[in-house]
Amino acid sequence: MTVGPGSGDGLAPIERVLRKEWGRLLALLLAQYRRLDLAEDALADAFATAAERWPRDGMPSAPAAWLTAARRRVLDRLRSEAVAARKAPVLVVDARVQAEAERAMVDPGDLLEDERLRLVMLTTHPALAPEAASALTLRLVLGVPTSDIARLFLVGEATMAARLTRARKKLVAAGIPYAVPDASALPGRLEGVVQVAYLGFTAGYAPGSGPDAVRAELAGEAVRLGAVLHELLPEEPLPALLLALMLLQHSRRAARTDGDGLVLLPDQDRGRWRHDEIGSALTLLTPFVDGTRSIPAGIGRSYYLQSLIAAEHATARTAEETRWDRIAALYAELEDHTGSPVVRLNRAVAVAEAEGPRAGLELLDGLEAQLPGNHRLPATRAELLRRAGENKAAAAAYEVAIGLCSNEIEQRHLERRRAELPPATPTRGQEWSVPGPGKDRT
Amino acid sequence: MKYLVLLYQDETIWPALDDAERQEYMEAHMAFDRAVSEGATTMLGGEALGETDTATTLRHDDDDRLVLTDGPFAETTEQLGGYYLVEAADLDVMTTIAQELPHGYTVEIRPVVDMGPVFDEVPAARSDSPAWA
Repeated sequence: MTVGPGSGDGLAPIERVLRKEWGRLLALLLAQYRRLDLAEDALADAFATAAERWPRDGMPSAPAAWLTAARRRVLDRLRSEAVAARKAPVLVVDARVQAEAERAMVDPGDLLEDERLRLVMLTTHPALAPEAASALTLRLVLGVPTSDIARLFLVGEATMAARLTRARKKLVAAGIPYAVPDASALPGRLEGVVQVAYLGFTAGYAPGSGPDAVRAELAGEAVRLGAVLHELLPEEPLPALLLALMLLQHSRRAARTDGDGLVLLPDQDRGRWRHDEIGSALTLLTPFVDGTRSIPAGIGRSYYLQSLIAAEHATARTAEETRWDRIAALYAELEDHTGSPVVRLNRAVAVAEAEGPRAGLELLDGLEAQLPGNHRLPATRAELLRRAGENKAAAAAYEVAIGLCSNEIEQRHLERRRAELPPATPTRGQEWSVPGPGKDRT
Repeated sequence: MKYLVLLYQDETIWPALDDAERQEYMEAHMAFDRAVSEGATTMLGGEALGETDTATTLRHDDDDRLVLTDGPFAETTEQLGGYYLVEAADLDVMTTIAQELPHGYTVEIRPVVDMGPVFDEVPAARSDSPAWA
């Protein structure tokens, strides 16, 4: 089973259509009734009924039918609540937005796109903790089930349900507006939006103890979110760059694992990469590369450089043909831009490939202070020392890395590498010791 | 919505400021006040508070006896030094205006909970004098 971005191609057809329509319909219900709890429950009910009837009665004529069903449920609930003394708190929705939603209910048209953007701005608001915002966005905008979101973020379903509930409560209680910021504030907010979306993506690739492959598929939902953002804001560079980056990284998912665990980048069957997705990403990147579109500062520039690095890997026909010189130069630029020690670590790997292990090792000097407790640093050092023929030092570095590593799959891999250390002669291997989430190793 | 805007700062900072620096703080407060009254927002109140060594904390022990303690409820690195109560349409409006406040502060924005008809029915609850006066 694979879940492709923008399609959910591992899902039943009904699920796919439901999830595609979820965000639009929820956004409309919210705008009119301002009650997150009611809108979500009613829509879920309407979808459950639709899923039940679908096989019997065939494809429903239009999502408008679900909307009608959901509206009826909301109204029923509101009526039964009217007798209660205290009204439940409602979202802050501009009167004009509410009126537009009412019109759209009767005649769903162009307004729908805008409604979904409002929903995204709500669920990615900076007043929410980033991880909670990421989970809530997947739930409310894409209709991803709570159990799937829990698996993606490596927490129990009850924990995730509680986290979502708390985030929903905050949205309403704190008065977070259901509105798109004006043109001057939008670019600033978008930095936060894309980071929230990317957080969901990297969660799917973060090493965990469970079946990693499944979680990588769930990361496809975050790619779908990136596609939605790009669709809503095609003129904005940040969503385009984010989508390109995620597509490139996600395109390798099927080749990343086999029966035994992780398959590292040079050993991956490039025929199993999703070349259609790589193509889409390159199309997104082209105008930035040829200067038609300008590259934004800040996080956008970082996504751009990371995308170019991923694109170098994606377009190399074989591992041997990888242009490590270009990748090393891009990492140098990225390090300049971010000042991140993790980027430096990746740069050292690329430089080692391009210029030899000694050059790579030089770049690792002094990184320990900046990356204390990080097992990837000693693991990388061990690989480079091995290539330089310093097997004794390599064995010691593997020891440190194994001690710091908390992920079983990676630990086993490191132990295997240490056991493989030849007694004397240096080897020229292309194998890398540790997968990095969202990086260009696997 | 009503928001309580809580102003926190290490309270040793203020006494150490010179006149020019204090003037900057005052100007920021005035700018905030102006922004609130000029925008679609309303100032409902606000005061500066005495330092935490003037605070008295009241609680009742297990036998329901009154216990008064010298000092604040919680020892923190930054202390509550003042507050505003502001009516604003939503959190974005509130956070935009709150940027006028002195940047040396940590500003906590708390929504005021609408307690509904029970409290609205008490006529004195919304006047300037306390309900029992």
